[in-house]
Order: sequence, then C-alpha cells, then structure tokens
Amino acid sequence: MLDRLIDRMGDSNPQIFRELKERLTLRNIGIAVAGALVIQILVLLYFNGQIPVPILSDVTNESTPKELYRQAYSKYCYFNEIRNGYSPGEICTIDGGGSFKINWQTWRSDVFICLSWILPLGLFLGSIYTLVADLVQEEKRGTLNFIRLSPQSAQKIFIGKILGVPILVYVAAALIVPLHVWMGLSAQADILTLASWYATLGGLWFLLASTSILYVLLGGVQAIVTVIAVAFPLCAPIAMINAFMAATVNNEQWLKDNYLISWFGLPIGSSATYLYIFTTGSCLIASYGIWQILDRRYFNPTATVIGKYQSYSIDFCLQLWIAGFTVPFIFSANTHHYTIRQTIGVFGIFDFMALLLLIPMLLPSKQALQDWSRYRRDRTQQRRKFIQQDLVQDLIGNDKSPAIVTIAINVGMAMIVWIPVSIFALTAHTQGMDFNVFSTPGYVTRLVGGICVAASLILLYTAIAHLGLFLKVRKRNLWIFAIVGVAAILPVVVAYVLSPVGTPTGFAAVVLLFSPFAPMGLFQLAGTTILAAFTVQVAMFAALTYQLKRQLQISGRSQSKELLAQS
Amino acid sequence: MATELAIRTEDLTKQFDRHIAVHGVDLAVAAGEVYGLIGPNGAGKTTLMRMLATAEEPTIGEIYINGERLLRDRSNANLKRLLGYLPDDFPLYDDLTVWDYLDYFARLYKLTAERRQRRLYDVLELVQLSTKRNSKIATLSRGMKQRLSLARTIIHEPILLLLDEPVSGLDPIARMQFRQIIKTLQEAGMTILISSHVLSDLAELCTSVGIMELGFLVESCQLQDLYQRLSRQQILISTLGDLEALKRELKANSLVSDIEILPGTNQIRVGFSGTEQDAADLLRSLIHVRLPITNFQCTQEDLETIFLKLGHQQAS
Repeated sequence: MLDRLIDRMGDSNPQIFRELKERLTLRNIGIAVAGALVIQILVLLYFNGQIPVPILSDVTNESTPKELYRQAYSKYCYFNEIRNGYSPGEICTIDGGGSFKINWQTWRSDVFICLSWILPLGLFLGSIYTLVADLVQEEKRGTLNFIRLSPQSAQKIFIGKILGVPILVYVAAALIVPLHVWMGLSAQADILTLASWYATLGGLWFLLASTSILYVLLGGVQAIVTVIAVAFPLCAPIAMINAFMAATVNNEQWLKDNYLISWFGLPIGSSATYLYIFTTGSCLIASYGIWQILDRRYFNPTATVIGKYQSYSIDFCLQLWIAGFTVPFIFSANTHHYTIRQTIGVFGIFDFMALLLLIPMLLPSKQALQDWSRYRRDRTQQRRKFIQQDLVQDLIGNDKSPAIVTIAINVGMAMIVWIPVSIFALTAHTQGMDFNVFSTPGYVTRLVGGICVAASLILLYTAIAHLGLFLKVRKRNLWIFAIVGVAAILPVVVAYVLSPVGTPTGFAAVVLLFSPFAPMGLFQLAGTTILAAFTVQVAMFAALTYQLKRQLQISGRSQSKELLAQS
Repeated sequence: MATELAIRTEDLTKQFDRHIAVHGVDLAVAAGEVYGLIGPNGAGKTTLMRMLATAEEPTIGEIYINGERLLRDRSNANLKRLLGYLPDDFPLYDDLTVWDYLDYFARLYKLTAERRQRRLYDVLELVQLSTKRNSKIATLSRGMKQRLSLARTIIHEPILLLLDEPVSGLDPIARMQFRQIIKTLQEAGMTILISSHVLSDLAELCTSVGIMELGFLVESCQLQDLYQRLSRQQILISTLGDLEALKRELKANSLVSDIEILPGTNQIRVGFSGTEQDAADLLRSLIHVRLPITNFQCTQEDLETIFLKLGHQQAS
C-alpha cells in the first residue's frame, strides 16, 4: 500500500518518488511515530508534575495556612480569599474531596505554549538538518548534476526535496498537531487565531526550507554546524508568534495597547491574527524571491546569486516593506518621537545591511568580468541580432558586467524612501521634545548628508570588492570579504582610538564618517565638514572606478594576447 | 537533400580563468553517425561534451541540437529530452534498487506510466541487467554499474547520445559487451558522440572522427576519408635471395618510397602510395625478375598512428 502511495505521488513529482522510496520504510515510520509519542508523553508528564497535590490527607479549607503553605502555592490553583493575614495567591482552594481545585485552563494553556515551541523548533531544525545534509551529499556525490540535466524544472526538484527529504520529521510533527490543537482550543484559543498560527508556521517553514536549499547551492556545508548556527536566531520568530498567541489566550493587556506597530495602517502589533497574516505574507514573498534565485543557480551554478533585473525587483519589494513601517510616521500626528526614532533607526540599519548584502550577491566572478570585457565587442559586432546593448544597457542588465551601476540604482531606490521619511517623519514630531539633536542648526541637511554618506559608502565598498577580484591570491572571495570588512571597521577603530571616551568628536568624528557608523559623527560636525567628507568619498569612488576600468581593459587585452600566443 | 545535422556548433569556446579549454570549435555531426572524439588528456573533449550536454555554459559560441539553438541561462527542457549524457564518472544512488533507480530517471524525463514500464524492461534487457532489477546498486560490479549508467542515459530514448570515456576502467569482456550495446543503439538510429582513449574501439565503432588538441578541433571527417588521406600504406617483403637485388628492383618502382632493410632479418619494409592493383602489379614484377619472394604483406597505419601524427602536427 505504501509503495502504491509513493508511486502515485511520484507521478506528479519524480523527486518525491526518489526521496520517499529511500526514507519511507515501515521501520523509519515506526521510529518517527515513537519519537513523537515519547515527546508528547514527556511534556504531559512534566506538566502533570506541576499540578499541586496536598501532602496531608486531611486538609480542608479550614486548615491553618501554615499547614498548607509549603505545598499550596501553584499557578494552576484557584485561590482562597485573604485569610489569617495571608495574601491571595498563596493558598489553593480545596475541593470537597480534599484535593486542590485546579485551574485546568491555565494548565492547558501552558502545555499548549510549550508544544507551540517544540513543534516549530523540531520542525524547523529537523527540516534544515535533513535538507542540508541531503543536498550536501548530492553535491559531493555529483548526483545533483544528473538531475540538472533532466528536463524537470528547479521548482519541481526542490519542492520534491522539501516535501520528501524531511518526511519523517513531518510525520512526527503531524502526530503532535492533534494534542497541540486540542490544548489550544481547551485554553480558549479561537480557531481563527490557531489557524493563522499554523499558517505562519507554514510560511516560516517554507522560507527556512527554501533558504536551506539556497545555502547549499551557494556552497554551504556541514548540516550540524548549520543547525547549531541557526537554532538561536530561530527562537526570535518563534518567540514572537508564541508571545502573541499567549497574549491572545490569556487576554493580556499589552496586546491591545500595541497599536503603534503598524504596516501601512494595518495594526499588526495589536492583533495576533493580523501579525500572523502579515508574517505569513512576508515569508511567502521572501520565499518567492529565494525561489527566483534557486531557479537561476540550479541551471547555472557559476552565475551571480541574483540577476541585475532581479535585484531591482527584490530591492523594490524590500523598500516597499520597509516603507510600510516608516512612511506612516509622516502622517501620524500623535506618535511619540522616540518610537519614530527607534523604528527608523532599526530599519535604517537593516536596510543598510541588506544593501551591503547586494554586493556579494551581484558581484560577478573574475572570469565573467574578463569574458565580458574581452568578448563584449565581438558579441555586439558579430551578433547584433541577439545582443544590441550599448555599454550603459550592459551595465544595467548584463549579469557578467560590473555591478557598480546596479548597486547605485538600488541605493538610489532606497534613498527615494529614506530621504522623505527621515526629513518629514523625524521633523514632524519634534515640537516640545527634550532632544538636543533636533534643535541643532541644519538638522535636515545633516540627515540628508547622513543618507548620502551611507549611500556613497556602499558604492565605495562595491568598487573595492570589484577591484579585489583582480587580486592574485588563493581564496579570492575570502580576501575580498576581509578587505571590505577592514575598510568598514578600521575607521571605527581609529575614531575610538582618537576619542576613546564618549561620542567621537572633531577629527575622530570625521574618520567615523568613513564607516557604517557615520550617523554617530554627523551631529558632532559642521555641515561644511560633512560636505567635504562626502566629496572625498565621491572622489575616492571615482578613482576606484577608474582603476577598475583600467584593470579590466589591461587584463582582458593582455590575457587575450597571452592566450593566443600559448595556443 | 542536405544531411540533417544532429549537432552543430559555431565558434564554440570555453575559457577557465587563463586557460582556453575549447577554442573556436565548429563541429558538425550528421544524424545517425557514430562520431569518435579523440585527443590526449586536457585536449578539451570532456569540456566540449559537457557544453553539448548543457552541463557547462560556453564562454562564446553557439550550439544547435537537431537544428535548435541551446539558450543560455535557460532550462532548455525540450532539448534536454533529446540528449543522453554519460560522463566519465557515474555517481549512483547506492541505496536504491536497479529498478527504482531507472524508474526515477524515467519519471524525471517525463515518461508516462505505461511507456515507463515497457522501457524499463527493454533497457534492462539491452544492458543485460534484467536479473539484477531488484538488487541494490551498491551490490553491483563496476561493469554492471557502468551498464546501469548507460541504461539511465538511454532510458528516455534520446536521439543524441554523448558518451565520455564510457569504457574506461572496464575489463576486456565488459568492454566488448559495452561495444555491442553501442552498436545496437547505433542500429536503432541514435546519433552517438563518443570519446575514448581506446582507439581500436573507436575504429571499430565510428563512422566519423574528430581529433582535438589543445582545445582545437584539428580534424573532423569521415573515418574512411581519413584513412584514404592520411593513412600511409606499407609493404613488408621477405625474400630468400639477395636483399640488395630486391632493393634495386623496388627503387625502380615510382610508387615505392622509404625503403628500409630490417636489420638481422631478410625483410624489407617500404612505403607505398599505390592502390591494391598497383601492389599486385609490384608483386608480379618482382616474381617476373625471379626474385625468391616468400612473403608480401600490405599493411595500413591505424587510427592511433594517424592521431599521433596528425594531432601534434596540426596543433603545432
């Protein structure tokens, strides 16, 4: 029967067929079922042990508090009124049979929240481990290359992998679901919230599974190291969705007050369901982006991680997502400026990091750059039918060309969001606030200056990374990472050496302008100094770009001659 | 009517860093041919095969399979169904059975359930693995694994088969079995591009050959043309009489060159540029002058000699 089931599934997706054939044996299913049952039994036993039981057999509600005190306090009790000077919460109510009256709803709520941790953690870590281990093995063995040569799409192969490889983890997780749902409903969680919690779980799982595959395609190895590395960060989204679930079940007040976190007006902070819908949607959109990359890398493992045109759409989505949190501040009159500053700060750093991440994702290989430089003229002359791009179009759209223009366009898209948000949101809500910075002369100019400095820094790092491609060293990518890292960190170190106490000022603040921590130096300097620093950055960028152009021309030309001579 | 080309490449080039592995190759293989690709290690055969199999993207140049152009950065799903590629290493899933392995690949190539079943039986019979259908792949011998890999390559009935060193590491019997299978596939109408260092195998199997050297395709033609153009004929003559007298007689014939007395024997080896009829006339003239000829043997330079001569000459 199992074989027939696998056979049927394999008709729609051959990869599932192969994965299930290998894994879905009766023995393995037995182990998964036993594992799931043991986990549930252990959880129930643990929580059962938390239920208070009177030690003395003859206790009544009339017993003295001293007799009861030691064993009486438990969060699962119903409590008596104040008696004999003891406060409520210290003495459990005794029922007619001499046992404590238990608040089963609280108990079930705790079991529910505990399972709400075990289920996603087990599912996520189990899926990541099995997927990474399997794909690493396929890559090592070389079998993935054969699959690549088949006419199947990347989507079909990887969906087959995602559904098939962790199948035993899914079996175990599925067996925990009934108890989880039962406990949730008993704890007064409504069906809609519970369903949206599961939808979020699905969204996060799909995002993580997709990311795991991408991780291996980009050269990731060692499943166990990966699992250890992601286990802790994974707790953040789980904690978030579970905190909202617990707040909903326990009817906590903070959830109702949390209306400030909104996305284009949707109050995602004040309702678990809204948050879950938003998180699920974000996960699915992010997954879609990852699948675009997977599709690309699957058929051409030497291609850049993302294409140039892909980068524009990804950046557009990212900026839209960020704008959803920041732009409403421009129009909300009663938002506390501290909230605005904090939110804008967090998303500003996040966006800066995301734009930095674009550099390795768009950086072509040295070979690709040389090929582009060497053969571009031939291609455009000989094959005008297929390639009719001039240089500018090539720099915007050809994945083998330098990525500087593309990064600049992406940075520009970010600035379109950040400049108005910074100016209007931060200046619209400063009246009456005891915050020195806002009364600084030229405040707006400095804000804009800060954004320009951040943008030019990203371009500087991009140019450095491109020049790093021409280093004649082993492990070139590692060197590039190190050089860009030093270029980013060194000014910070110098600034704090020059000005070890407090916020760097004077020359130290100028040095800080050449690091990702530039905003810290902005308000310590005169506008002309910032402008001068920005001009120096632009000049450095121009010099590096010119050097890159020269390097490409020389390298392409000389190597062509050399190679022809060799041949 | 012009012959339909199964493979055509234009200026196909692949460069790895400072090394040009394949250099401006213009290859044309007619449908139904068995085309042998020969060349020393590092000549670019495997890279060329990998590009044809869509496993590697060309630096420049175009590939046409059955008249249809391979597109860069695309899945080329339709073209992939026409191709079967057997690389020189053949990783397998050791934990699957022979049947499940082939079933999996048949599904990957979108064979319908009915056709899949029939095809699996046919292919297993062709590669003589029917009795091993339920065995785990891990338990097979190397020769069997190689035949299983070939079965995987042809499971979807490709029209073009790319075989990269398919007989390397096989014992003589396994090699013979493999040759037989390839002949059967050729008879079934498949176009086969095969690379091998065992040139005697290629001489037996191929209708055309291409010689690669330092990334260049230095020669590409029908095997018969190659022999006619480049294979030098030699005649080995033994006599009981005077070798000098024999030498004098041979010198008088304008088709004879490079006369060499083999030391310590009563034999002479000569180069000969005539036809079979000319050779018969030469023998008749020697007998006519009463030379006691005991052996008169015509031989031709084989593919290996031509390759050694031609590859290095053209590349240099």
